[in-house]
Amino acid sequence: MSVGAVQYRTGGERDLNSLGGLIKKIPIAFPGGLLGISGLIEIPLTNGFVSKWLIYKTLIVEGYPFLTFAALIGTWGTILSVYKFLHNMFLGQLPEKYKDVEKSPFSMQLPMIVLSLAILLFGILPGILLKVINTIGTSFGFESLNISLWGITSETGTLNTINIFFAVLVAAVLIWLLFRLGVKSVSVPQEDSYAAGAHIPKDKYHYTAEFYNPLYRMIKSFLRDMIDEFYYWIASSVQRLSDSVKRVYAGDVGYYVMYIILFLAFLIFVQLKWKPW
Amino acid sequence: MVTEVMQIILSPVLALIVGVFFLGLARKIMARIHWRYGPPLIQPVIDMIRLFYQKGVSHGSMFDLGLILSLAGSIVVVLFLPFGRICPLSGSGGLLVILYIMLLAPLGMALSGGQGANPNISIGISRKLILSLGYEVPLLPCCWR
Repeated sequence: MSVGAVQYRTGGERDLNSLGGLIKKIPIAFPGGLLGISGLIEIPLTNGFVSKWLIYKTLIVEGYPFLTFAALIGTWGTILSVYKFLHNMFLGQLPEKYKDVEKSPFSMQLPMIVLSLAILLFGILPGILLKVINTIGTSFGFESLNISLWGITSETGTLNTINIFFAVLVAAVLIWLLFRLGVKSVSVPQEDSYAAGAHIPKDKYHYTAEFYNPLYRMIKSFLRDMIDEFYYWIASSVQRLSDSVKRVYAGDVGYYVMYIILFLAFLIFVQLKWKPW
Repeated sequence: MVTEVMQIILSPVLALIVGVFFLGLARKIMARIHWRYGPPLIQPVIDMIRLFYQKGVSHGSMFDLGLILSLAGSIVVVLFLPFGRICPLSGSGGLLVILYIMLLAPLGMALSGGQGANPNISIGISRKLILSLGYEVPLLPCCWR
């Protein structure tokens, strides 16, 4: 939805690398997108975390180390990809041509607000949904889980999201109060920043393309696609075989007569040698 | 009840003191490896006090909120870590929660940095996220007893 809001206001721009810095221009879309990706990458206190916790617990208790590892790698792939997507749209340098972008209409903001609140609600109080899932599970004959409104209690571990929520909230409020005690910071525009002693030229730098180049450099040698190479080898050898088979149909009557005579000669040879008929 | 509250209040403070002095120690050791004398052990404390009274700049609301989120995430991770037998929030989740709350610190810093227009910020963000991938993957084998 936040992608839709951005696309609607920037005139159907689909190239992520040409966007950027829209956080203040399209205000509701940024928190909506942030909470959406938080739910996707399973930050605690969003809806994805509880399911991820259950998946990990099951994998660990049942003893599947490699699947757990695969789940973590998958999570990190999600984190890196969706963070780049959010950064390219809303953070970074605002291009000159989007200086006058209007904010999205209310009919686009309302669903984002409702769904963001739902993500937080089901993340902080997962029991609402887990109770329904638990009744479905028991109707299929599985053991009933011990579920409260804010978590799961089992012999392998407990999860209490409301404690985590209050811990994060209290810590954030305390830090905010501490920041308030210090000297108040001055709000400056985004371009008021320096790189290597020089002022940042406008519309010159938007370093978002090839965001994870260091990672790609590291894992490039592991990314050799062996399965694809195998398929290509099968395809090329089948093609070579078919080419040689195709030569049999020469299109000349003389060749076919020769094949018939050779086959008859082969049959006569077999009859003379082993006498099967 | 009182001891629990004391544990919850004291463990982040203890972690802050230990962390700050570890940072000073790390800088000292790094300096000795470079064949330098290095800053004093309490240099991070001096920096903190100086930055507290220095006029700062802000690029917007996310610039401030990201920093708060980052530090709050770090403090909550401390509440889940055991200090000897003291572990204030051990009943609310285990290592898996630590594994995912650890994400808040780099994420908050990345969001906060993203509001500036400096191209070096993007390089820093990508490095920070890749580094935290490197921290979390070795932590996962600890889930097995």
